[in-house]
Amino acid sequence: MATTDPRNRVALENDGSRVDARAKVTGAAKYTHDIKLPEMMFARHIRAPFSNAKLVKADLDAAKKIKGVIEVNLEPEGRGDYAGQSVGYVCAESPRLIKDAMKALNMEWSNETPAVDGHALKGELPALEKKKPDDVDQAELDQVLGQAKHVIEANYETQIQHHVSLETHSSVVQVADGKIKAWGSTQGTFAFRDGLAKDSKIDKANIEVNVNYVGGGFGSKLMAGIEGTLAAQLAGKYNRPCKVVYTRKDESLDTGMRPGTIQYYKLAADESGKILGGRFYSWGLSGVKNTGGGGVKSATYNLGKFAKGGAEISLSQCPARPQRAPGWPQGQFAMESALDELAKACGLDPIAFRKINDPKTDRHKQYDTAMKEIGWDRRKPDGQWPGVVKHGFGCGAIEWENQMFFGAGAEVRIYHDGKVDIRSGAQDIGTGTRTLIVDLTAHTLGVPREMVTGLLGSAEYPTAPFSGGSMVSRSIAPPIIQAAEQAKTQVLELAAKELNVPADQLDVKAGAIVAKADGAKKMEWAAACKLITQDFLQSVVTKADVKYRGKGDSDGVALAEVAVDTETGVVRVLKVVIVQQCGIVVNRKTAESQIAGSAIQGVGFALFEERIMNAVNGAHVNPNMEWYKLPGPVDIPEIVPILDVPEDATGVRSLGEPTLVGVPAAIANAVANATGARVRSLPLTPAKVMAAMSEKGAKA
Amino acid sequence: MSEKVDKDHEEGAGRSGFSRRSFLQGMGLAASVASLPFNVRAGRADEVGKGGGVGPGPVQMTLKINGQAAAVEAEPRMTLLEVLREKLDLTGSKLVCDRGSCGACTVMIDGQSVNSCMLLAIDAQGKDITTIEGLVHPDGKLDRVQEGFIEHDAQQCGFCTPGFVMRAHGFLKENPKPTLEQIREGLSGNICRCGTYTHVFAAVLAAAQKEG
Repeated sequence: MATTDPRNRVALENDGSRVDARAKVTGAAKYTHDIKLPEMMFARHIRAPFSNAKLVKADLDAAKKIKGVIEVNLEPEGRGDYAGQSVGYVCAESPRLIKDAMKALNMEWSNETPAVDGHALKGELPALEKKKPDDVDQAELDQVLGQAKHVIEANYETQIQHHVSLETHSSVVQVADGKIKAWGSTQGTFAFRDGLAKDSKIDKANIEVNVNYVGGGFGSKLMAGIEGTLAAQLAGKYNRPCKVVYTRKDESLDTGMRPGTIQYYKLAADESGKILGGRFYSWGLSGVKNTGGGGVKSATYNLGKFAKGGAEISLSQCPARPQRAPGWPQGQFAMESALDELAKACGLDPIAFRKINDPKTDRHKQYDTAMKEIGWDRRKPDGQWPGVVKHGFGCGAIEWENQMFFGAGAEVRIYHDGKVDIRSGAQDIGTGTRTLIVDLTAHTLGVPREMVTGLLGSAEYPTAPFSGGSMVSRSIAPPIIQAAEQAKTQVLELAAKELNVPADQLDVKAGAIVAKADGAKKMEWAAACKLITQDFLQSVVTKADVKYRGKGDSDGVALAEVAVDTETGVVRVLKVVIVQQCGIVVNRKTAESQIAGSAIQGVGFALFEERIMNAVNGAHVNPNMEWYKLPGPVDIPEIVPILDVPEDATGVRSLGEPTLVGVPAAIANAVANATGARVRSLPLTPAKVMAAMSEKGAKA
Repeated sequence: MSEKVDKDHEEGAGRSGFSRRSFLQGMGLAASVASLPFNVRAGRADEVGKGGGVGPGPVQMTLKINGQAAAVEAEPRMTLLEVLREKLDLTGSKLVCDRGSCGACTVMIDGQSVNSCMLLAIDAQGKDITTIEGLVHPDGKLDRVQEGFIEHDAQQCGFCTPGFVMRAHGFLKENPKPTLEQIREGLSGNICRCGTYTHVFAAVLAAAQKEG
């Protein structure tokens, strides 16, 4: 089986492997978890076991007298608003001793007030507050909805999802001579440094951070976090390095989540299938004193006269944090489900119905490509696939604007032996950023990628955004290209004197400098670099020219084929096709890996993943990896990633997050097509699928 | 996984005097116990049979890792994974779930892939242990599985990668010419969060085409 699709045009003619692949497959890559320093101490937070918890008693003496326990800090009247909230810490000579001390504390807690359980609120949802005033005349809208030929109305629910980074949140901090050296599993090199500076009151200039390898983040690691704060505090206090590593349970309890949603849609269409208007309300099920919930209502469709509103519900859980395309997969699940229901009411094929209401013709072409790839013509009317195991097909649109550009810089250095390094303060959380900066630099200079080293994950390098909003690649690409162009010009000027050809008449191809007009006039790249008079040639860009930016959105479509066992309700996703518009493809393998990741995380969100809380006391029921189910090898569909690169694309656009946006919707719609019974709540567990089918059967 | 059943294991305590079953129960896991693919053998013969067993303090143990004998002092309760990472600085094996449900800590023991978080170090004595660090040939050449992973971009963040490589390495020893379906099932004890499975399958298929 091929992992790369030959249709995926590679603008930089580069199909090289990930530059740090060898380090990763040999175990040589050192993550924060792997850092070990002489005299290093270990620390972990003590956490409340459930929501609204009050500490009744703890045997501090027993914990403190364990040999090797350095400090136990616990408020005598500790309170926790939510399960997992920090109420103190243990510092010890080894991770095992921390466990011993936690056990010796033998804590007793009381549960003062019950938890707030979001899904129990159904039927008595809090009053809606409009996020912004609608200029829609409600009476007119009522008239449209009342007179339309086809109307659907339903609530859609999505669960709370965990990030489950395999490397848990962790920091190692060393304080010496008023300076900090730190390692962090973070998505924000600069945010990590700035957080440590704020906590320690040590000047940023005296803080060195190392963010070389990060074992996933998905939005949960955007700040220094309390793990960094604790490590810095104890390292300063004891003048010894301190390492804080979350356990899997800590990670599940207190590193944020994708908030749950309840979303209401009422949509109306005329006889031809044109949408006339509707209402959308979204309730976000977030954490304590926290917002950021709710589903995004995308601008994919012309919805006519449309009113929207929403409200936040604070549950007794840890505060939410952004998770890959925040708000989008859940928003698109509700909208695309509602659209499918309306298409069905109109008697139209789901994609034909979308084409009527989606003004972007680029996406119409993407549907055509994806339909052919997945075999959409095999799709039967809902529930009509013969046999017990029924196949279904569904779609979901991908909407993503590339509006925000984060101020970013880049530095290229060229040495006497011709070797190059590219420096960026960005971090590579698995996205392939190190590979991207190498390939962009090598391509721009015209030298083989093996000559370029990518250096990132240090705040001493030029500014770069945190890994969020799929902003990194499109923000750092412009300064990298510009810095490399400037450096190339300088090398060509050195070669110009040697070859007696003006610099602007020279070019670099495959590591050789050649006169454009006369191929015989040439010299090796390395030979020209020997002429560099400084220690190294340096090209720094702090703010790139806007002409280097990728223009346009990153829209796309996701299609899924599923098989549903109608005797058990078990869903298997057989195939996912994602057609994704993007900018130039800097590296095909890592780009396609981003799409595969989206498809697979989409399967997890659609079918398996769900944080389960005890509705009475707010304890976390499945804070581990056996009862919080992630997709495993047997759950994986065939994935077809199709990169839709416009012929005139010049810059880099977003890719990592948009590709996820339509996947859960496509799977849910495919399941409804297979069974003929719609499940309006994620994840699509066998129990829900069976319940929907029996309800349908009872009605029929 | 192996069907081997060890008598000592069945009886609940190895000759080392430790009950693996209670250790595992202490970690809150039952599911993986029945399929642990290794024999339980003695820790230190001279420490056994004196009534009290060894520990709880650190004891001397000798582990044969990547072809070399390593003498370490560790508490008998420490897992092989903890000893590899904390005592020997062999950090390629990762601690992720800490209870045998993700495979990130996979190592080879006597030719079979094993979750090193589910095995006490003291019970790994006398066995041939290969970690990800030992998979590279002495001349620097990579194992065919590692080559496949690089070629097919079978890693994103890379944190699950050493475990997948070791599991695939062990799997191919038992199934030299697997089908895609067999690969899915053979690797099903391992979890990747970034979602790179399809690339892992391709990497293992490619590795199977080469001589092991």
